[in-house]
Amino acid sequence: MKRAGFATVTGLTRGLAVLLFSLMLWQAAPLQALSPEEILSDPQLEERARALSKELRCLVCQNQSIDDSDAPLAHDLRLEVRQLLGDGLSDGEVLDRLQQRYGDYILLSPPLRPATYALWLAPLVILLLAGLLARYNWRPPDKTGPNPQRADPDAARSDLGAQTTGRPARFGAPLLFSLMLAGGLGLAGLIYATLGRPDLPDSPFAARQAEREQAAIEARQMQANFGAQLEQAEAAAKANPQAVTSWLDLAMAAAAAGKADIEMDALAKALQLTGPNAAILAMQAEALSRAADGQITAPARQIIARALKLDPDEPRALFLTGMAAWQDEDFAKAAEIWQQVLQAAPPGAPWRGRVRENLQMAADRAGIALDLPDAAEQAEMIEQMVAGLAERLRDTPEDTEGWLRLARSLEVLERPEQAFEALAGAAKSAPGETGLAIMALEKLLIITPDPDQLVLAGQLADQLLTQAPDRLEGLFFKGHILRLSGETQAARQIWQKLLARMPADGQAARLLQAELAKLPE
Amino acid sequence: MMRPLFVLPLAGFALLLLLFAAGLYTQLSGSRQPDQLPSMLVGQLPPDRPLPGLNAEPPRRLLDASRGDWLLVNFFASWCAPCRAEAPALASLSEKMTIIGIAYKDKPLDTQKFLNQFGNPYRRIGVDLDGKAGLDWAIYGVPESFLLAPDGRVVLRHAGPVDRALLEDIEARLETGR
Repeated sequence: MKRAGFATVTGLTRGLAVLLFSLMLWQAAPLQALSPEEILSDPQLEERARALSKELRCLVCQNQSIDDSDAPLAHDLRLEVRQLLGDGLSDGEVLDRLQQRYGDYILLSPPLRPATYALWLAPLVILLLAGLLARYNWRPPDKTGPNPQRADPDAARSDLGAQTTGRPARFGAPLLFSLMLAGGLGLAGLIYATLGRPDLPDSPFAARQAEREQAAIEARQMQANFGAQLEQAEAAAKANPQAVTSWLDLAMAAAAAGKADIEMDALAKALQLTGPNAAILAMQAEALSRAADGQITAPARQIIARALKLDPDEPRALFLTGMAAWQDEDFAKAAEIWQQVLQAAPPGAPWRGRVRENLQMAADRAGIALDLPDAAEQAEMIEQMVAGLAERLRDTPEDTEGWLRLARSLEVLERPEQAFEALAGAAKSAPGETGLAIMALEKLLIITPDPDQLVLAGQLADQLLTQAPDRLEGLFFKGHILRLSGETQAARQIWQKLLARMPADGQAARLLQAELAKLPE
Repeated sequence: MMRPLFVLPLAGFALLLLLFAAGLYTQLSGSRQPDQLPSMLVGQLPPDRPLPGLNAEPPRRLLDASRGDWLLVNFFASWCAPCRAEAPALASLSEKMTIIGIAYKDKPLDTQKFLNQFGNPYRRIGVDLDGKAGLDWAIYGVPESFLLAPDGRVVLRHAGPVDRALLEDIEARLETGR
C-alpha cells in the first residue's frame, strides 16, 4: 500500500520537475552553432582576406568595415572577397573589382582623384598656412628691437628694461594662442591615441569568432551531455521495462536532447504500464506541442481534454489549456486558467514564477487587473502552510508526499537545516526508496548539522547501507558523518574502503583522496 | 599684426558653421539624400546572371527578352517590411511598364505566399537565394529598384520602397522617352 502510494508521489514530483524543465525549454532559443564556413583553409589566403576586409566598407553600417560588421551584406562581401582571392586575383584586383561594382564608397580610405583632392590636400594646405602664419608673426626679438608703438621714453635707459617690458606685451597673445593650439592638439592626439587609433584592439567579427566557436563548442558539449544522459536513460529503461519511472526518465532525457520521437515512445510505454493517467497524458500533449514549435495543436488539445477528464486539476494539462487559449488569443480565458493553476500550485513549486509571468502577460493583454497576493503575503501564507504541514506530519509520519512537500516549502524559505529534517522524514517513511535517503544526505553538504541532526543523518546512512550496500553514496556519507562527529579514525577507514571500490583514476577518487589528506591524524 | 591671429579662428569657425548649415539644409530639403549611395551601374549594361524561377524552373536570363522596353528591376523579399509598403505603387506601375522581380534571399514558398497576399506586379521573377545577384547589382538592402532604358542601360537606381516621387519621375521618363 505504502509502495503504491509512493509510486504516484514520485510520479507527481517527477512530473513537476519535468514541467519546470519543459517550461524552460519552451523559452530557450534554438542552439546556434556558428560554423566557421567563412574561414579559408589556406592561412595565407585567409590573412589576405582579413586584411582586405578591413579596407572595405560595409554598405549597410557605413562606418564599419566588413571585417567588423555582423550585417548579412558584410557576410556576403566577406565570402565574395574570399571567393575572388580563391579565383587567384591579387589584392589590388579584388579591391578594383569591388570598387567597379560599388563605387569608391566601398573603400574605407578614399582614392586620390580630382573629386577628392580637397579631402587629401586640405591638411597639407592648412599646415602650410599655419607655417606661414607662424613665420609671419614670430620674429626673434633681437632682430626687431624695441617695438616702436610700445616704446616709452624710459625704454632707452637700459636695454634690459626694454626687453623685460616689451616681451610680455608683444608675445603674450601669440604665445597664449600657440599654447592653446598645442594643448588642443595634444588633447586631440591623446583622445586619438587612446580611442581612435586604427591598430587598437577592436572586436571585429573574426576576432569574436573565437568567442563564437567557444559558444558553439559549449552548445555541442551540452548536446553531447544530453545525448549521453539519453543513452543512459535508454539503457535503464531497457534494463527495467516494467518501471514507469524509468520510462519517464527516458522521456525527460529525450525532451532535453530534443528527440521528440523517443520522448513520445517513452511516454506511450509509461502510459501502457499505468493505464489512463492524467499526468502522463499531459506530458504527451506537451511533447506534441513542443514538436510543433510550441503550438498547441488539435491532437494535443484532444489529449489535454482526456487528461483533464481524468483529473480536472492536473497542473500541466491546465497550464497547456491556458497556453491553447493564449494561442487562440482568448487572453481572458488564458488568464483565468493560469490563475487557477497558480492557486492550485503548491507554494514551493519552482514553476510558480513562470505561470505567474504568463498570467501577468495574459491579464495585461486582456485588460484585467490582477489581484495577486504580494510577496510578503505569500511568504506569510507559506509560513502558515509549513507550520500546519509540520504539525500534521507529526501525527502521520508515513506520509512521504507530505514530507516532500514540506521539504520543498522549506527550501523556498531557504531553511536548508529544516529541509534536511523533512527529507529525512520522507526517507524514513519510505525505506525502500534509496534515492530519498541520498537526497536528504546531500543536504548535509550545505548545512552545519547539530548533534541531533548528525544522529538522524547517521541513521539514514545506515539505512542506506543496509538497503543498498552496493551504492557508494552510503559509504561516502557514512564517512562524512563520522568526520563531522569528530571520529576521524573511523571516517578514514570508511573512506579508504570507499576509495578501494572506486575507479582509481577517476575524478571522484582524486577528490576523495584530497578529502582524506585533509583529515587530521 | 595680431589681428589676423584672433580673427582667423573665428572666421574659420564661422565657415564651418556655414558648411554644417548648408549640409543640414540640403539634407532636409531633400536635394541630397545621404542614404542614396551613387550606383556604378548608372549608364552601364547591368549584369544578367541567370536565375532560377519561383517553381524551380532552370536558371534563365531575365532581361534579354525585354530589351527594347523600359524596365524596372525590383529586388524584394517576403521578409522585408518596406517591400509590402511599395506593393501598391508597383501594382500601379505594372500597368504601364514591365517590372522584373528578383526575390532576394527569400525562400520560393515564402515569396509565393507574399505574392498571393500582396499581388504580383512582376512579368518575370528570378530567385536569388544566396544573394549573388544582389552582389552583382551592388544592392545593399531590399527593396531596391533599377530603371532600365530601352537600350538596356541603367538610368537610375533607387534604394528603399518605390515612392510617389520616383513614380512621377518614371512616368515622366516613359512619356518623354528619355
